[in-house]
Amino acid sequence: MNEKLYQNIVQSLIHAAEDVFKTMIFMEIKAQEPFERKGLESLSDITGVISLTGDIMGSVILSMEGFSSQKVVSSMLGDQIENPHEVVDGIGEICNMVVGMAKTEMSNYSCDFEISVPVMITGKGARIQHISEDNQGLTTIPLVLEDGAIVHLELYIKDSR
Amino acid sequence: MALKVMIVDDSLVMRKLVLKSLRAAGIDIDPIEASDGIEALKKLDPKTVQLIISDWNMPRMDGLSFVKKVRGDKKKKHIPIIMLTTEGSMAKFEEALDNGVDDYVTKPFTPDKLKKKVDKVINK
Ligand SMILES: [Mg+2]
Repeated sequence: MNEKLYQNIVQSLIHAAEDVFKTMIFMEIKAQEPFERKGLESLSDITGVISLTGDIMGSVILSMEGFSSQKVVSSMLGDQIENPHEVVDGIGEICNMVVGMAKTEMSNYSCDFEISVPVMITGKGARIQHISEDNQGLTTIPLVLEDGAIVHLELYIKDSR
Repeated sequence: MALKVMIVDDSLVMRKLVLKSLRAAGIDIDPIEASDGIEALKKLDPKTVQLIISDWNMPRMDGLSFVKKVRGDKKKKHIPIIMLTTEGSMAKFEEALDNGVDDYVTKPFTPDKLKKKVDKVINK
């Protein structure tokens, strides 16, 4: 894939994540330097996967520890959330908002695609099913929460044009 | 009297958040919830529901298909609809308006932004 396009996607995901955390969760996050990794396993306890189809094909993954997930969803609702089902649902919706916002930003670069509803996976090290699988790596963007906890935002895409 | 609002979203947390946001903005709400278009059509009573706030991306029947069904039904087509979605591009916005959506709010949203749209649509 064109390096410029790829960097635009990474940047639009970072902008979207910062905005969603700030507006909906009332938390500042800091994105660290993205890195590449091989492997298709989830990095944390609760993982949302959204498939992209269109000018680009692939997936965006948001993965966080159970403890952070509970904190984040509780902060979003302004209520202590104990029900694991709600925590997972909330992370799915955060994932949805991040990818949706990034999609809107990418449409300004004439890169258009549709997004799926989030598929949720619980358990660390679970294998993630991607829409297109070859041996390319994932790009992982670590997002640091105020308490130092790390959320992993990952990207697995290829150009389909 | 409380405003009878149907909130349609596949995320339970998002439905809660919409309700909470409207209440925080001072609107008295009597909610009815549905998790997709099919459930919403089943539950939609045109005699009582005064406003629909619907998500776009949902399984089974998405928000746009749901809006088309409501607008195509003589008994239901008068109900105002606000689309609340992550879809923020101009093309999607126009597609929604062309199909009968009254107004459009993108997620992420603030309670204030949502309230302004609700006031506008209700007082139209
Ligand atoms: Mg949805």
